[in-house]
This record gives sequence, structure tokens and C-alpha cells, in this order.
Amino acid sequence: MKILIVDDSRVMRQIVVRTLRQAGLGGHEIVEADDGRAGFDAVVQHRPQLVLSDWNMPEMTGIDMLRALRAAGNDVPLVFVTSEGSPEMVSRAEQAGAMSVITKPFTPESFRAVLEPVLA
Amino acid sequence: MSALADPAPGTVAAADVESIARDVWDSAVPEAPPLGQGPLDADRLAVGAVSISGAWQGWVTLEVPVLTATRATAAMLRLGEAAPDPDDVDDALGELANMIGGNVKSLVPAPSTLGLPVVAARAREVVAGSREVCRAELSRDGARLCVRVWQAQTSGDPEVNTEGREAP
Repeated sequence: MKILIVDDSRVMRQIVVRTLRQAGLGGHEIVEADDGRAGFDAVVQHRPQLVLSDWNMPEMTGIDMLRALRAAGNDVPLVFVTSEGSPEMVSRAEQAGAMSVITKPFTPESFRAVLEPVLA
Repeated sequence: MSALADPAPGTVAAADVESIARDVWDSAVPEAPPLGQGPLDADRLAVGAVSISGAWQGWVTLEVPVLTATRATAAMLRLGEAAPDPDDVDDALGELANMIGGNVKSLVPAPSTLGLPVVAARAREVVAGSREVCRAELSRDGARLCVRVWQAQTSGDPEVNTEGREAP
């Protein structure tokens, strides 16, 4: 499976990849993008089966990227990995078509709980 | 670990900020090596900051000695004894501030939005004109850090950086 990780922090992208591995969900092809605009382009170019995206990024936010993808008819499963996990944010994410929200800081267990049904 | 300064009414309690900072640090920097003791201002400080804009407006800053930031970054990236790239230190510091700020945001009146993290040599540079309303200092396995919550003094937006991180 191909996974796209979208985050403007290179450190966080590395931590996400490592956490996938620690959760027992490694071994997938990883593609990275550093903002929502690049993430949208990467979805079109690489056709991942899952997107893990930060919310707050320069150029284009994660929620705007998701809305643009859905508006373009792309229904790739997207999970937000964000520092904000309030009920309001979760509601906005779900209304825009996100699969789930994982709050930073995260653990391998939280990754497994959300992503195992998709990646296992 | 100690919490300093009383919170302004209706804003943020130091104990809550302390709890958030401890949880973020322990989760995101699980294997940071001991860094020794001493007052927080004994070293040159690295500062990460993130703005909150909306019904409540201000900043959340994370201050750590540069050595702490460097070693925390190495721990986050599992670099062992290797020194991290300075850009990665800024990146990691901004992410830590972002995680703490995102959780602090849940404590202030909604609706509000979180800005992009910035890093700077001194928190005063980015919070100039704001009032410190809450402070939590932590000493964890020898690592020292200080989280402060600043409320904007004016009704306008805090100085939000929309272009990404600043160099210290």
C-alpha cells in the first residue's frame, strides 16, 4: 500500500513513519509532501491508498486540501494527524470527509487503533 | 516541577499548562538524556512560539536551553550521539510548541485558530506587547523547560507568521 504523509515539519514526518513501524504497520511505500498544495499534487501524481495529513500548514491547510480533493472527486481515505483534537475540529474534519483524527502527541497504540483497519 | 504566576480570570490555569507541557514532553521526547541541573536562564534559550487568534488572542511560548532543544531533537529523531541539523532543531522546537499550543487552545474561549509555529532567539521578540498570564516550569530528568501563555493587549490579531518558521 502507498501512504502519503503531509506535514510541513520534516521531523514530524519522520516521527510519523517511525510510529507506523512501531505500531506494526510498517512496510508500506511512503510518499511525503510538505504542505497542503504539495499534498494535493502528490495525491494526483502518486495515487496513494491513504493520506496522513497535518492540519495547520503554510500555502494550503490540511482541511483545504481535503476539501479540494473531494471537490475534484477524489475519495482517498484521509486521517488528520494534528495538535488540535477538539470536538469542533473533529466535527469539521468529518464533515469535510476525513476518516479520523489522531491528536499529537500520538502513540503507536493510537496509530494502531485508527489505522489498523485500513492497513492490516 | 513548579507552576508560577496566577492565571488571569477566565483564561488558563498554570496547573493545566503544566500538565499539558509534561504530557507533550514525555510523549514526544520519550528518551531525552539527562541534561544536568541549574537555573533555566543560565544557558542561551531557544524559543518556540505559536499564536492563538479568535475569541481569545495571544501566544504560547516554549523556552528551553539550546542544549536541551538539541538533545531533545536528537531523541525525537533517534539520532543517538549524532548532532541534529540546526534546521531540524528549529523544526522540532516549533513542533513541540505547536503541540503544546494546540492543547492550550482547548483551554481558552472558542472559536479560535492556531497559527504556524515560529522559533526565535527570545520569546519577547514575538510576544512584544502581550501580557504573560500563565507560566509553567518543568524539570524532567534534568531537562528544563518553561511554557508561558501570553495574552494580546490589543483587539487585533497577534503577530501571526503565515509564511512558516522564522530563524532564531
